[in-house]
This record gives sequence, structure tokens and C-alpha cells, in this order.
Amino acid sequence: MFRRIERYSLRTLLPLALPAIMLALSQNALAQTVRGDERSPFGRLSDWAAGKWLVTDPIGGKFKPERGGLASRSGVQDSGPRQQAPLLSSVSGYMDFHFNNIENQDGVLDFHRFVLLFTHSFTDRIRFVSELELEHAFVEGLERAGEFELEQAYIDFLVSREVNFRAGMLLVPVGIINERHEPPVYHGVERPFVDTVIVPSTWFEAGAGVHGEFGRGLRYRAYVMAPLDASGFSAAEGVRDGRQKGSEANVRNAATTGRIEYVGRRGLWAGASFWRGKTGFSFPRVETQVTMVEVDTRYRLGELEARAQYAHAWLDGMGELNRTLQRTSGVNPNVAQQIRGFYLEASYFVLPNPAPFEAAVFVRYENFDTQYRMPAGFQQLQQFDRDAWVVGVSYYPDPDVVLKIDYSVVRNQSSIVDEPNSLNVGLGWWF
Amino acid sequence: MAARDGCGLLVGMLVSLALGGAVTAQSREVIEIVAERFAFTPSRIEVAQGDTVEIRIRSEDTDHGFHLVGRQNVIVPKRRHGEAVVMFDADEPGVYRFECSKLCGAGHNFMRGEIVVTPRADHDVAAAGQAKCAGPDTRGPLVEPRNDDG
Repeated sequence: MFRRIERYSLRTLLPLALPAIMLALSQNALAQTVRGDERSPFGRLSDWAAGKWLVTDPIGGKFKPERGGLASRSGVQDSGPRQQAPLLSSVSGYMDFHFNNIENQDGVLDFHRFVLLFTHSFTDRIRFVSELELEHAFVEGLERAGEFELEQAYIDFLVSREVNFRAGMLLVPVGIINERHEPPVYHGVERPFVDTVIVPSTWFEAGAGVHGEFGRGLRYRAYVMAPLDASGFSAAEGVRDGRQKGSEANVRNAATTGRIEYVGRRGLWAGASFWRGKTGFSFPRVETQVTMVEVDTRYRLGELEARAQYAHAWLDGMGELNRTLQRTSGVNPNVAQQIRGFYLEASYFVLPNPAPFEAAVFVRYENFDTQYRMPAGFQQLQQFDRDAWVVGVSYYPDPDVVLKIDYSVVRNQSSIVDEPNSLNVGLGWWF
Repeated sequence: MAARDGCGLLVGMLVSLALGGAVTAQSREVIEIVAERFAFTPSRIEVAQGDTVEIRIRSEDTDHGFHLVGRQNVIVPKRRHGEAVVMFDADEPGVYRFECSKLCGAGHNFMRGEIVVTPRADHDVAAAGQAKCAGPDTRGPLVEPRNDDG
């Protein structure tokens, strides 16, 4: 019994202990009389529920839409107060409907994503957030079917601006897209290749951790999460199929991940992330580990926006893993020792304010290699050293609705295997 | 290894960028806040006790909420559909939290910030220190304080 317990490190037990710590701390925060306008939280909550703060509010608010609800440079016009009580529970969601015409293949219509978000505030400081996703519209227990995934389901314990706790099913804080993936916020029908085969978005796992913000817009997140499973790694898609997705996830050795980002200057976002964890629990005699680092930035100046991201992962022990899998299954997965990718994107709003609708053109260059460095004795396959040009248009009849058209030209370094180009059309919306 | 070193360098740059102190409001000043998934920029505002500040919040994407905890809650309309305006009377020193009150996506709970009201004397000392570096402020009042009920 004790031997069994000893197998679990402190880091492994941390996800279990953290929720208890969080609860204690948030209750402590609730029990304090907070500074400034905040009264006793129990008084405040009862006032909140009764809506009293709306009528005793010593300060005021106005909603000032621009004339006609459309963009206008001629100032603002009052339309009276538009205040409302914060909702205790709410539902939102987003959808992605695609047409993909891949070279030398029949066109495909795909309702790619149907996502619903549910939230609930137990108190002002204890909140639940969840995201339930149906991919490809249909689920059954066979291959090539869709997926029904619980991508997020966590409770936030909001203690202070600097330190807050969360536990449950979390998004891994790596990359531009993984935590910010609603269809209207990125260009292109499909997510960037780098955010698919290098950073395996949507990357979510069970775990717990802290997050907060310091100074003038310096934020951090640090989580302990279930690790990747090396038995799912592949030559073509790197670590993507190694995600345990919080489904009875093995936490014999938990992974750690974190992100630091700067959001203190208008128009500029910059971040750096890491992930590190042992991955070989399916093969106890094989020591494998993944370390991923990633840096990214977004910058907007007027109608112009630029994005850049670089991600690099070191997969330790893949030589032994390849040999083990070849012995046990007869197939050598030829998993690389290093994978890496980057992309650069520029977009420009060609129909900006004061046009009634918006449209942006964009171009993105991606370079990604899931066999960047191979373990000794394994051959690097050039077909997995790929790059892509994606050009297209995003048309917004409303800021929350986007019609996207793009054309992807994908190339690899192989003289034998071709990568197909594709024409993609997508309709996405958020509500 | 170069990538690892580069990552470390970027982290250092981010930290140095953030060490600029908070946005400081002066008497009757307008503070503009941009709301975008998933941050308010700026997210920390300092004002002196007794000041009245007009806070204008506009969105760069979807609808957001601006909830000044314990006080009021307004909708911030979508990109290019206008702005929300909140008048804030800094009556008492303290920290006043604000947050997004309309679910806007996966990182909704990250959208938080605070208004720090400092006693007038402390604020003047800090402002004097800034003036030594920046020279005299000749801007004058920008916006007359107004009664929000009007």
C-alpha cells in the first residue's frame, strides 16, 4: 500500500490538493471585508441578488452607440443607460461550418464545430466555466467519426488580481490559438497548421493551477496537468494523438505548463509558454519526456494586424520508444526527437470603419516539420518537412459572424510524396 | 537550445515592458479602455481621491461587459458599434475591481482589472515625481464631470 503511494510524487498529488487549498483561500477572501467599494461579500451578494446596487449606485454609466448602430466618425450619441445585472448563469457558443475542396479529392461539407459554453457564478469569487464541443456533427464508436469533447470544465477561485486558482478540465496555455479560438478571431477557415501538428490545439487536459496579473498587464498562468501519452505520438502529427483529454488520464507523472504574456499596451500581445512532462507511462521501461517552448506575438496598428508564432518541442527517448513499438506492434512509428514550426501572418481591413460591414484580406506563411531532428538510427522523412502559404478573405457582416474564403498551397521537401492544395470556405459565428 | 534561449530573452522583455507602473489619471481626465478577448487594456488605473474620471470602454471584437464590482454593470458594444461610458467618482481610497460581465469566450475570467484610488496627498507626491521627469503638464481639463443620470 505504501509502496503504491510512494510511486506518486508530490507534483502528481498537487492537482488533488490544490482544489482544497483554493477553496480555503477563496473562502478566506470572502470572509474578509474588502477594500474600497466592496462591502462584506455576504452583504454584497444579497444586494447583488436583489439588484440593490443598481439603484444605490453612486456613479453612473451610459451606453453610447454610434449613430445608427453603424460605424461613424462623427462622434457618439446618447441612447440612454444600458445597464444590467451580471448574470449568475449564461450560455454562449460558437459554430464552424466548412466546405473543403482538397486537390484531387471530392469536395466536403463539414459542420466542423458546434460548441456550447456554460458558465455559472456560485459567488462573486467562485465561478464555473465549461465548453462542450461536438466536432464533425456526428459521433459513433468507429474510426473517422466525429468527437464529442469536454474541452473545458473548471472552477475559478478568484482571490486577488495577482493570485487566483482554478481546477478541472483546462486549456493548455500554449500558443495564440489554443486559448483563443473562436472563429471570428482568427483568419483562415482552418486553424494554422502549426497550431494543429506542433501545438496540438485544441489542447486540453485535467489539472489545476494558478493565474493572475501583475503591474501593467503582465499575466501568468501555471498549471499542473495530466501528461501526454507517448504511445499516441506519430511521424505526421507529432504529439497530437498523445493527448489524454482528461479521460481517466494517467497522472503517474504529472506535467507542468505555464505562460507569461504581456497585454499592457494597446494593440500589442506577446507571450511565451512551455510544457514539460514525462510521457512514457504506457511503457514503464522507456523513459520519455516532452518539453515544448513557444513564443508568439500579435500587433495591431490601425487596420493592419500581424501575428507570429514559433513552437519547438523536444521529445526525449523517442529512439527507444520507436524500437519498443516496433517490437510490440511490428510498426515503427518513426517519431522524431524534435519537432518545430512557425508562422507569420499579416491581415488588413480593406473595408474598415465607416463601412457598414468589414472585410479583411490576409496572407500567412507557415513552416513546420514534425521530423526536424531524428533519434540516432532513424531516418528523417522529407515529406514531413512542410511549408504552406494561405491567402484569403474574412468578411464580417457582424463582428460575431464571419464568412471566410482561403486557398492553401502546401509543399514538402519530398520528391516522391505531394501535399495537396485546398480551397476552403467557412462560415463561423459566435453568440 | 537557441529556441530555449530565445524564449528566455522574450520573457525578460515582457517583464521589463510591464515594469512601467500603472496608468495614472489626472483630475477630470478621460481614460480609454480597450476590451478584447481576453483583456482590458489598461487593466490597472490609478486616480487621486476626489477626482472624477470618465472611463470610455470600446471593444475590438464582440460584446463585453464592464462590471465595476459592487457598483454598476454596462454592456460594451461590439467592435465599431460604439462605446460604453462610465463616470467614476473617486470618493474613497481603495481598490475597485472591474471585470467582464458578459461571457465572451474561453478566457472570459481573465478579463479583469482594477481602479486604484490613492489619497490626494500621496497622488500629488507621485505626480510631482513624474512632472520632474516629463516637464509641466499644460493639457488642462479634458472633460467636464457630469451627472450620469442626465
